[in-house]
Amino acid sequence: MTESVTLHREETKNVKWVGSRYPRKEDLRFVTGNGMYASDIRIPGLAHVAIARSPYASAKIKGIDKSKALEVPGVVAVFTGEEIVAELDPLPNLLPSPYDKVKDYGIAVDRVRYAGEPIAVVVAESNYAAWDAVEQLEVDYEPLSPVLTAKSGCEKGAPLVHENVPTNVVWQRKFTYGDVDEVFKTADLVVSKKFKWHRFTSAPLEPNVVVVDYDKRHVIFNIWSNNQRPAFNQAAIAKALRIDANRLHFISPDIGGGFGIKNENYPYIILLAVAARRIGRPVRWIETRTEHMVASAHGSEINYEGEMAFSRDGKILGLRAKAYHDEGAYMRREPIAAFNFIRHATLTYTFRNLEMDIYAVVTNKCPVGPNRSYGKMQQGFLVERLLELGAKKLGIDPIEIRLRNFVSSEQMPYETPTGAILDGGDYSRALKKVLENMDYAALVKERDRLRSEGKLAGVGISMGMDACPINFSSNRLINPKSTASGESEAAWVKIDEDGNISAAVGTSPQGHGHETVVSQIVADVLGVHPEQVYALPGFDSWTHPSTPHSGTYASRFAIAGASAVNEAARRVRGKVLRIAAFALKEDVENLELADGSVVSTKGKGKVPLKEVARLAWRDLANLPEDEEPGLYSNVIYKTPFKLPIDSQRGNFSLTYSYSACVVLLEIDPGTGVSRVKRVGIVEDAGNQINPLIVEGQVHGQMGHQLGAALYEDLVYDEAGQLLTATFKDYLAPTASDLPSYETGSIVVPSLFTPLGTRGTGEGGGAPLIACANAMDDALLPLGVEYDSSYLSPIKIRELVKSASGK
Amino acid sequence: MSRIQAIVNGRKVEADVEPRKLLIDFIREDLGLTGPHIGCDTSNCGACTVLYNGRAIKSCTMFAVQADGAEILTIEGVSTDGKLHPLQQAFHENHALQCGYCTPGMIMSSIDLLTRNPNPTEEEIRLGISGNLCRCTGYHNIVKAISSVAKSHIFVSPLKKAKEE
Repeated sequence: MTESVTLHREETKNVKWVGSRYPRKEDLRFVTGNGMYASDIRIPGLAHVAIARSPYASAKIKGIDKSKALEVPGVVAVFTGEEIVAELDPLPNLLPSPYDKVKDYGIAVDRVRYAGEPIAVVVAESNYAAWDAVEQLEVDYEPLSPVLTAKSGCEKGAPLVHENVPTNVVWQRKFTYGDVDEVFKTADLVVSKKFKWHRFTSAPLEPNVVVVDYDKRHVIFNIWSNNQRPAFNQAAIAKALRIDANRLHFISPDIGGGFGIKNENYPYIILLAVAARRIGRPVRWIETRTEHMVASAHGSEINYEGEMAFSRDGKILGLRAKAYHDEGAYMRREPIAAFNFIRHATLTYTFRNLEMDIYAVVTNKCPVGPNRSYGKMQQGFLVERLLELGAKKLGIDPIEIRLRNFVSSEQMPYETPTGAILDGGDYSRALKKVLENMDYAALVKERDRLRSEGKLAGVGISMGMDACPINFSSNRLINPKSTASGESEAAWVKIDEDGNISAAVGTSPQGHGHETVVSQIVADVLGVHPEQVYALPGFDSWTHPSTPHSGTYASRFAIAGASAVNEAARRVRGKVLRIAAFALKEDVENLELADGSVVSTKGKGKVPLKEVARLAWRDLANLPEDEEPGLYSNVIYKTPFKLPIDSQRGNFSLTYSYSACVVLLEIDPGTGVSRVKRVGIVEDAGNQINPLIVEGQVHGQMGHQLGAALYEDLVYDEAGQLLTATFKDYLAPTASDLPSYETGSIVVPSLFTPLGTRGTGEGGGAPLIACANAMDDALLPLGVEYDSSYLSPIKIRELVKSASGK
Repeated sequence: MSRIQAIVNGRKVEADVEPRKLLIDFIREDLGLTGPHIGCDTSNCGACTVLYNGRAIKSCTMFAVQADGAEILTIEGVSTDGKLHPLQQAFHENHALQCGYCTPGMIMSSIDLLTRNPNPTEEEIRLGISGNLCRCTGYHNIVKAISSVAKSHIFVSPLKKAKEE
């Protein structure tokens, strides 16, 4: 249901492949079992690592006796945290002083801070022997009382998660835009609500994997892992290992899903590097699912206290909120999600008055990390839920109230109060289209029919916004001492002496199909078929170009990666044309590049690309005098970003893709179990390089967000033990839990990217938020106002019971 | 150590294995196959699914010694004569995979499903693959791919082929 694509790029004449639903080139190896994931790497002499972990959420380590572990047959070595850390500097974080003093090595030394924290690294001849030895480790713990919620961590006298800093609130800022107090004083209506954003994780199916081989001869660490942005992480890894970053050779082969979680496995790279260097053998660690759930990285967990002010006619006048973020035990780099509200604070709406008072609090739980749509879906949830409550109080239809508040397409580009510059779009068209696709009136009728049968049923709608990529000058608002700004990506394109075309980008994809889309882009620029372009798989820091921002995260490929490879191909094309012009004695302006040949439009003949390649590499005396030999271009694309406007405003993303979603869900009052009956979404990702792949990303967001809304929950008990540490308890949805998706899109090209594309992989959380609005609608007959992003069937059952008892 | 003999993808294999070794570890580490994957510790995800004497099983839930005398088919043995199996082709054409990690197990379960039920409804397809988790696709295109093979009646069990060889 994609409307026609209008590409606004320079060489529109040759656009054939960009915009087509080209089936993926990567698929052949995956459907035949020939994918090459990090756990498939085989190296002679490989030793196996298992990691011993803390059973306590908070405890002192008084001693570790490894003698029995060392007696286990097949054990090679056991390294305690203390022994590992002796060779390390702490991992850097972004916090302002004194909270930059928080020590984080990726392994505990004398104190454990969450259940599952690594305490020792065991190396053995087999994975089985390594686990045997872990069981024989004797650790003397002195349990301490843990901090398990952000709110309790803020209290006076709360136990300190890190003793060397004054409080658990490791970052706090209040951001104020416009005249918030005044509008709340004079508004016709103010709605207030406390909301809970629950902890969940995208849980990629492939757990974390790290293989390290220390090459003593060349003083190089060869690192195979499924890290989704090794070039980004290399500085932190090198600093921790006290070595030069150019001694780290990273290979990320095929990656089995990442969703942000696999940005965060770099502490294990460091632990494995130390072990490999110590024993002089290659080592491999494959995380178990349970380890992944207790100790990789969780999505953020927030307690909101929100208020929204309205005029009588339903205009949003302002938003005011306190947000308590439970960051887990370590703050790796930025206050995850806490700060991210700023990219899309007002979502798709025009209100100008806003106050966000943010507390980032460390607790004795698994550290949080970037998890698909982090910060985006949370802010969307806050805005959309309050808007929904306001609409109800004012008696205005939920569609109508959104239409009254949208930024209109005529206002684009539109600067929001936080300084974000929305890059085009038509929000009301997206909303109207999804309602039309889904036949909204029929959906409401179906809800009423279900209700008449005694079911609980609700309809919910929501907007979502996916702001990307990251302008790292936003770090300056977190820590004024930060000197970062902008972001970049690298690509090269090469035509070799036989005319073979290759391309590489620094993006380490995790199922995103970059080999396909890179081939499509290069094929159009060079006038060939995508099958004639070899796009290098995965990422290898010795063969792929990169910058310190490289990787696939923050939905950045369609902006940074695509622009870099497009520009590299254009430069090679320019050179091809110059060499052909010289050979044909023709002006460059009279040449076209199509179907593998350079052709004169004035009838002066043609030169096959292959012949141009031969001239460029082999027949150098026949090149123009000032032309450098070869057909190769290495481009570093700088995403056009500026410094912050002031200490709380700036444009920290380049594109703002958005979606409108509508959901019909049903709750079984007997079991409390919810099901989505129908769900539809309309997304605007700008020009789509490959609509098949974009649609796949929308499906993926849907799966994750419906799962999070209805089934997935990371639950800790009062001792800080994770109760949902396996797929038996953490209910990642199966095919029979989910409906089919009714997807559609509109295309309003981005005003700011060379290809008119927008980043879109993460989505803005619209399906999850629409589910929350639908839950609210479903529980309405019980007199219950839904106040979280997830409620377990047991809790729903309790609500049903207590309501029917009334 | 216990000596086992099995037919894996039509080829006879013989090995000494520790009695506690899981079948998935035998397939991946001893036989060097890379198709079946490990995604959980509790037999929920199905990434390790293979056919064991013709039925889909989760190879993380069996010991290697239990494969003694058995016929095992992994994703590597599904395409024949250099041609993709209709399910493999349909997964490709319908964009039914992204990262590809669940794909081998998902296809093995689909083979089991279509062998037993050549004309499944959408609900039966969803139920039939509910032992296999996918975190990338939200299942939409996987269901579409399986359904397209069933509807066009091009499904052939790869087991027959493996037996003949």
